[in-house]
Amino acid sequence: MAAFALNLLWLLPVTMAGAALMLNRKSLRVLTLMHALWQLFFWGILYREKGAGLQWLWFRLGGKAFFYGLGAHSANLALLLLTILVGHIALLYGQGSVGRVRSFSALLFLVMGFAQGVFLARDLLLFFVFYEAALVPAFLLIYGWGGERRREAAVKFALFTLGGSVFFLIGILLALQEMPTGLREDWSPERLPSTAWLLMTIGLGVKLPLVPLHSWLGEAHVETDTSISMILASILLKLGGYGLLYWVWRALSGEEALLLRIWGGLSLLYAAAIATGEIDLKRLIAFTSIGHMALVALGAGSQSLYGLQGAYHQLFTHGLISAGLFAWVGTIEKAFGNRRIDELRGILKDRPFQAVLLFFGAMGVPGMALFVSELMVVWGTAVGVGWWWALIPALSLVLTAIYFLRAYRELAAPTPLLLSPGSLAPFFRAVVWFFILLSVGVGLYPKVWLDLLADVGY
Amino acid sequence: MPPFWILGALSIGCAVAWLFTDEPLLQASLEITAAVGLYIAWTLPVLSAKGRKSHATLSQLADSHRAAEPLDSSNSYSTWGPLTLSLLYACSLSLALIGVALFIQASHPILLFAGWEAVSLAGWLLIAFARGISRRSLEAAFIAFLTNRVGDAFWIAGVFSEGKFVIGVWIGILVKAGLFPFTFWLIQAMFAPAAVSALLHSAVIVGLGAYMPLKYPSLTGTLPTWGINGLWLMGVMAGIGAVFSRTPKSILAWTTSAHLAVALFLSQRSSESVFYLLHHSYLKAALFLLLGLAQKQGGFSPILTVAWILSAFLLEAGHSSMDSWLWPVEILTAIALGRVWCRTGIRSTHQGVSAAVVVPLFLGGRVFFLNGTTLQLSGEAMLVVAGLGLGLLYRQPVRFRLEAAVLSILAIFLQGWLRFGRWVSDLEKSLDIAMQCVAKWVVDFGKVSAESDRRAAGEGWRWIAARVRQGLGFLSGANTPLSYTQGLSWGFLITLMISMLWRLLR
Repeated sequence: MAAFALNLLWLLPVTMAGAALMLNRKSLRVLTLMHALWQLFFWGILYREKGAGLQWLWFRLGGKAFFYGLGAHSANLALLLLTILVGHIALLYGQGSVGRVRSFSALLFLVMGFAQGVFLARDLLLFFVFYEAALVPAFLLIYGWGGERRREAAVKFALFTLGGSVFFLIGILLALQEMPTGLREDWSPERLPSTAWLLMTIGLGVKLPLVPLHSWLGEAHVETDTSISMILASILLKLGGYGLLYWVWRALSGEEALLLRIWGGLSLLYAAAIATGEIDLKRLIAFTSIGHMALVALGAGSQSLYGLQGAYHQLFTHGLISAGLFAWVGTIEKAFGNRRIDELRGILKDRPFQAVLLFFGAMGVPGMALFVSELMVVWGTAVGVGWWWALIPALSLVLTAIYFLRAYRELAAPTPLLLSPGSLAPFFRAVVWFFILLSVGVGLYPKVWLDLLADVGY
Repeated sequence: MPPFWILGALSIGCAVAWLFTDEPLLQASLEITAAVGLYIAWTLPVLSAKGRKSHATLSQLADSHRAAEPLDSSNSYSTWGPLTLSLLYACSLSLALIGVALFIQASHPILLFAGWEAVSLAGWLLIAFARGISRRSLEAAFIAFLTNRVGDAFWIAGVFSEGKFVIGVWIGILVKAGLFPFTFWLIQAMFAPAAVSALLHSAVIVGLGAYMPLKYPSLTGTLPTWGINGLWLMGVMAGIGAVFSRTPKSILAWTTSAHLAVALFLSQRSSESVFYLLHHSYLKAALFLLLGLAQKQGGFSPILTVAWILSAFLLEAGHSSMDSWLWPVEILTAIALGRVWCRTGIRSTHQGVSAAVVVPLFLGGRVFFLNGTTLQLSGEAMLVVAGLGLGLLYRQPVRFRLEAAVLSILAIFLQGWLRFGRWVSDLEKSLDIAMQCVAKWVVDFGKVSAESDRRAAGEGWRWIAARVRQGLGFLSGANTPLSYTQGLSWGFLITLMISMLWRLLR
């Protein structure tokens, strides 16, 4: 039963991509809903049989065996659920607003399926294959749907991520020279050469993204359609983070962890500075993602279990809140046709609550999901490498508050409104509320997810 | 007023139900519901539209201090009715109470921090929304929340450091309690309505800071002597700030800061500081509510005057036997409290006369039992009375804001960070543009080189073809162009010769 669910969790979306090409808009919605139910059912099976896995021989090369190995374990169950939730909601969101809906749905199904494959893979080579496969439909989505400059953004996305993949591939090949198979069970950190570690980190750092490698993110998030931004922020960034934590983290020595911490800290400061100075609302939110993902790097470099668990949990919680934020910006963009903060002054006249909850949620106040994960990163850093390092993630609390409260102050400013709102289907607002409520639920009762993460790590 | 009666009945019902339940969780929720309901019932008039209108008349009384600036309704930007406002108010207050409960009962640093943060979040909500959104309210809430966050960042690093960074915990405490260099956020927070100030900014939020070393001494450790002296100095500075402050509410905020310095000072010296903290919270809350009432009525009525003087006296004299070090703080704050009454209060002769008659009578009763000891109206307590009297006489407003310097430092820092952010953001954009330029150059170079390559290749082929044609023409005869049959025959001949040569050489 578990093997059935494991396979279908990534195969079913890929097959659905073919089916989606032949349906009209209305039946696509039904298909999406049915598919979501099936996926949730498979996820439920895997949640019950935690630790289930399968492993079939794929091929042998040079005395090494590579496997088609999938598994659902403590590190990936939350992320699988995140992919199911955000993926289907982004599908419904996009099906209500974009043109060429068949190819859009098919590509989004493909991204979903390959992302599930990335999270499920237990063999390094299989991981890489899924990781690369997810890039192609993502590129096509950015290329095909969005603003005027989306094509340039898509090309930039492709160049950066493919460039990163080259580093990642060389790193993998170097690493595999030292290992008997590609399976994670045979993956012994001590034998990993630090060149391999560095190359793999650069490759995954493009996707995470860490700062000098982040340049694709601003363009891609801003130019593309809202539903694809949701997918990018909530799922595709997580591929890099998950790869870093699941495959690379185990191999870190002291100096490498130090490098990762410094890198993460610089990334955090830089992203916070840009978000403070930004006047494009969507770009601001895109850069908060960099800041929040920098905490993942810090948690990975903290050399403690709490930090690692916090980083894994951060992947999940940030997925929820950033999907909510992008959906919210999408409603603003749809209603007012504008994204510039200084031209949107006063839009929070009647309904400030979504913005308040989302902004405070992203600031990590208690009761919202990000609070727990950020605090665990701070705690893990303090426990693992000393309190002076803990000041860096703690500083992010202050810097996040500055730019979100500043943006709120601008948007709620008591000036006469320059723009008049257009009409907006209630579904789009409901999506925002869904993510807010989910985030509150995870924040108030994080035990389920932290219990999942109990045996993550060494 | 129906909401009043509904909420009152709800509270009483909860209180009665509380008597008959054993389940601790249910008890706690009933307790909180009853308390919040009662509190909101009492403070609903503060939020009603009528109250707000009379609030505006007060602006003629008080100086136009920014923090206590009354709400200009044309400047307001919320379209919410009283029901939405009171619901929001109720939610925020419950959040504050939940945060306090969490802080007091937490056993784990993360839970402790959750309570600590929930209270400052509630503070933001109440300052920003309780009087309707306006530019000023958002700015005040921003400063208050941000300052608290800075304190929190140090605090959390200190708590997780397991005793290696105790100074961080203390910075957090000083910020949260609003002690001297950080009093500016408390004064900004005075933008909230009187009821909120009474609960949060005199008792709960700031009280948590002073309560921390009592509840969790293992996290704060004991202060060295210079630290204790520093607390004393902070109290004195806050007292000076109170005397020179300009609006009634900011005077009260400054005295709160001074008294919390005293509470922290006492927490390092004696066991009486819990008593002092509670005593201060109740009486300071009473003073805030009295001030709010007086502002709504347009001045102090005789009964309010008596209540004010009595509360101020009890507040200042409540710990007169404690420590002779603290007298400067107490005298300064007594003067400040006297000034509040004087500057907001005396509207007519009969008020002054009634105060002059009733207050000494009341104080002369010598019926104050505090902490088990009788207070005598002699010696130290007389100093308090003298201070209050001095404050009544002291009417000259001094234009001097002690917190402005620190606030401007914060503003400079924020401006700098914002400017840096804009600069980096521009840099990022120009990097993007540069990258696009480079990409364009690369593509252009590719195009040019492809073109030249094609051209070169074409020309090269043409050149080679021309040479070949020339050569063949030379072979076939100098001036005649090469015909097909001639070429074929020459080709046949050459092939024949090569094959013969090949044969011979083998």
